[in-house]
Amino acid sequence: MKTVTFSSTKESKELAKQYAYSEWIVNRFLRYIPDVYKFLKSMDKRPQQYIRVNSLKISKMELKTRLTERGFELEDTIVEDVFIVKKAPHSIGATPEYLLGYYYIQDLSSCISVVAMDPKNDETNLDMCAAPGGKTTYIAQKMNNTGLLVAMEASKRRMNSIVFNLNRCGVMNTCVYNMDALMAPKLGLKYDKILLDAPCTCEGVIQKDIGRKTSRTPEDIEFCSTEQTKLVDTAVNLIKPGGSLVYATCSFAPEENELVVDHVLQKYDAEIIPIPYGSEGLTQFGDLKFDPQAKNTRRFYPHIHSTLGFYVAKIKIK
Amino acid sequence: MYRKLTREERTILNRFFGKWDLFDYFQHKNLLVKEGKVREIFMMTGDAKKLALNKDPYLAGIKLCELRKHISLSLEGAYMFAKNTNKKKIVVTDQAEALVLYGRDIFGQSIINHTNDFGENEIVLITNRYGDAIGIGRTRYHADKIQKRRVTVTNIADRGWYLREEANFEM
Repeated sequence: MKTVTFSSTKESKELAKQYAYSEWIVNRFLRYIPDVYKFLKSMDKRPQQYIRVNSLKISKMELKTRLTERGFELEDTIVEDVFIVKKAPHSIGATPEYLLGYYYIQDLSSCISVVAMDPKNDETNLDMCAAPGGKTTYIAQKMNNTGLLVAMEASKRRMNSIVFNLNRCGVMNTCVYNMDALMAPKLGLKYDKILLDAPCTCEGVIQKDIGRKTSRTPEDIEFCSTEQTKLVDTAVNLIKPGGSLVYATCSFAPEENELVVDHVLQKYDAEIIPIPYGSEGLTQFGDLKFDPQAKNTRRFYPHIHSTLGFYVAKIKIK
Repeated sequence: MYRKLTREERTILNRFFGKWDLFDYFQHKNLLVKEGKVREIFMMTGDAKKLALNKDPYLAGIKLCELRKHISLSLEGAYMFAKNTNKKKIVVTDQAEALVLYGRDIFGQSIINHTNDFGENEIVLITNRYGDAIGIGRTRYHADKIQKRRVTVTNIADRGWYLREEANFEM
């Protein structure tokens, strides 16, 4: 599948120059991102900071009391376990409570993918691309440290980070494997729920890494989309009948998002379960037309949702 | 490689748990040994244990302690111990809490409370005023001979390690 590109226009040239992006990216943004001027401006601002309470170790109220005593100002968000950090007298990653694993610094959109997954006690669940373990620890928390959570990570260098976070957060129901998620069938397990936060071009985290404004090419999107399709095929075949898959990326590119979900809808007996957060998914982009259910998938934009860029789809396999 | 505990290992651990009044707490917990340079003891759910014995994982559950000549508790092990026992503990001031997390030793005047069951050169749990284990220490004095103006507990391990290590990880 070739990445969709558009002919250069005066507007795309000017915006690319003004905000220091590769023009082909801005030209694509102009076709599908709502209020693109506000969006480009927001991508140059520091992202909002969120923390997720680790209820395996502390209650939400107690954590709030302790951090308030230390001079932090926290406010509730649409996700029960997540606070927005309104004021921080010093780094939120350097408090005793952080070191004790009482919270995880995690973007709201990332937490929403786990909320959408809806893990329950005693299930057998899979997190396919797990490092550094933010979503893994949240899934374990939602499972109340019961049942079995399998976490996979292909990169050897990133294993330390996942071990570190799982230990810090007191996670006991998880087995971590240093393996490519495409090899997941080797374990011989079937899962109630799977989270696939797929490797992507990471357009959505430009706020954290501005190098991504110019470092990616249309070929990168093409490559990621192909890999994501392979991963999603692997995932679907590992789900128990009636189980579900949450597919997520931190990219805005429709080829990495709705196109991958469309592939699942065309190939398998599946349906999209709506998620009560975020903006609707796209049903078309350039010449691409997606299954109408793609609108039930969700997009997150920094200028609309105060989150990093993110995409989430919940797919029920019949 | 994860494996079941041998009878001897189970006996050594039971004795260790008993010393901390935690024999009952750990009696029915799922523990496995991970063989490596040292033998590490991990605690996990029953389902995770079953898989760990069947398909060797990189990590299963939480590291509780290491079995060397003596047993050395991990930071997570110390956290679990502190929540479930009232043996061999010292409680430090908020100011000392910050210093402990920087790896510093503890002066007697920083201790606001302690159990009376430890002697000289013994392992104790260092907790904050909420009872959270922020570190593991070795006593320099008997519980009833604590010296206010002297280092009383040597810091062996503290949770500031997480912050110091985090900088080296690829997240």
